[in-house]
Amino acid sequence: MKKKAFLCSSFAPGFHPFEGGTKEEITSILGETYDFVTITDQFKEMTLEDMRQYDCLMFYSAPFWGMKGDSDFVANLLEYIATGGSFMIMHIISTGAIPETAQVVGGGFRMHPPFNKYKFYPEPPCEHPILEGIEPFEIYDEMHQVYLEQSLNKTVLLCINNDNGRPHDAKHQDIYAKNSGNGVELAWCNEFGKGRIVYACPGHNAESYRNPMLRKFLANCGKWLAREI
Amino acid sequence: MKKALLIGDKNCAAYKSINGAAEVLPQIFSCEMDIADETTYGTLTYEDIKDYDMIVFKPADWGKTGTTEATVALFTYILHGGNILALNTGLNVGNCQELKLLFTSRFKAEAPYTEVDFIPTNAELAAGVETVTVRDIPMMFNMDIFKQTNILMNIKFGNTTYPAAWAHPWSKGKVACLAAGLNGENLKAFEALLKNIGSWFMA
Repeated sequence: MKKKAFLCSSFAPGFHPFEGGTKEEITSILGETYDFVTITDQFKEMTLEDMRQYDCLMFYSAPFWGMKGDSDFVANLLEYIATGGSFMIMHIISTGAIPETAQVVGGGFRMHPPFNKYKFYPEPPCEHPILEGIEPFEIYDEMHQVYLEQSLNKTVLLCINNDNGRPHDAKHQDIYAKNSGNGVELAWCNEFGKGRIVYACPGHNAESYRNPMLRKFLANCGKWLAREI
Repeated sequence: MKKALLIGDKNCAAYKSINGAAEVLPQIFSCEMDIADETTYGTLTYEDIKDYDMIVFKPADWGKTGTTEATVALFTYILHGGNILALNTGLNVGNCQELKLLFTSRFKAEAPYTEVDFIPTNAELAAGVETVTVRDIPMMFNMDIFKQTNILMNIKFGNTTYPAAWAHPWSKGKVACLAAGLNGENLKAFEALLKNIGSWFMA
């Protein structure tokens, strides 16, 4: 029996278009594990009971800005996660707009360089089930520099400047770390309280989501969030 | 404030135990105080704690004795508007990421027992608080980059100033931290600050 998913994005014109490609790709990637019971751009009025109808809440570049930490939605979301819910945030880590959710999800958007071709590497050494069968892959995308929360026990899944311990040769891959050796983390997972969280940056548009290895990676994320792996 | 819950260990090294706090804090806060010690705090649920006006958190070593169940209970309590005062050893929570986020700090190191000056800042919650000089264990923390807090007192150790007391709202709740109070006598010395925190919790 498939798990129930809530999928939310911004439908604002010109802003990470969701309709006409991205929605279809995301639902096909995760459709083996989930029934997408609700797909919407409305989420701020959700109660805790609303959230608990779903096995996983998924947000693609959703507009968390403008909310505060003491809003009902934020408190409900954090309780949903801590008490066992699963939460996935794709591409823009917009939960970073609120301090409490920035802390819990693990970061906040800082900036991104122009669209470019990036190679993503599974973060070594990592035997997490999400990375089963995942090899480095290359896509044209928009890579986000993220301020990172340091207090989490998360598992980093993908980076773009760490080729098995060697800094990447291409300058733009190392644009943030600048040969410092610091990892540029662009996907991670975490068990928070009794719940599970995934952040995955790659996926600016439908074209990115057609990459077979990214699809496999995200499908694995979905299965882990569903507690199937 | 009517009723508070003190979480901590009774049977451990004296400087880590809650025995002194259990004696002094009900007088400072003018409240009843229940205790959840090491035989019970690991099984606390949100239902157990939701009606307390304040939780004082001072376990000896939460990183070893804390449980996911109790951590989630505390996290949920804050999300529903609760108030947590973390003292002394309660601020060193090991790998408990959930509480590190609530406390907006990560324990870094401590120095040997010595005389320490706790110097108030000009924060509103430090109004009327004077420098407190006690023999205690200086604790050092890395502060969170996302959730801003209000520093209420600092200590100077070596040539570096470290936060020693801070407080902030966290979602719908409130959190205050005091990196001091290894015995009742020391806690009594911070009475003015603690009363301010208690009033803020109840506001």
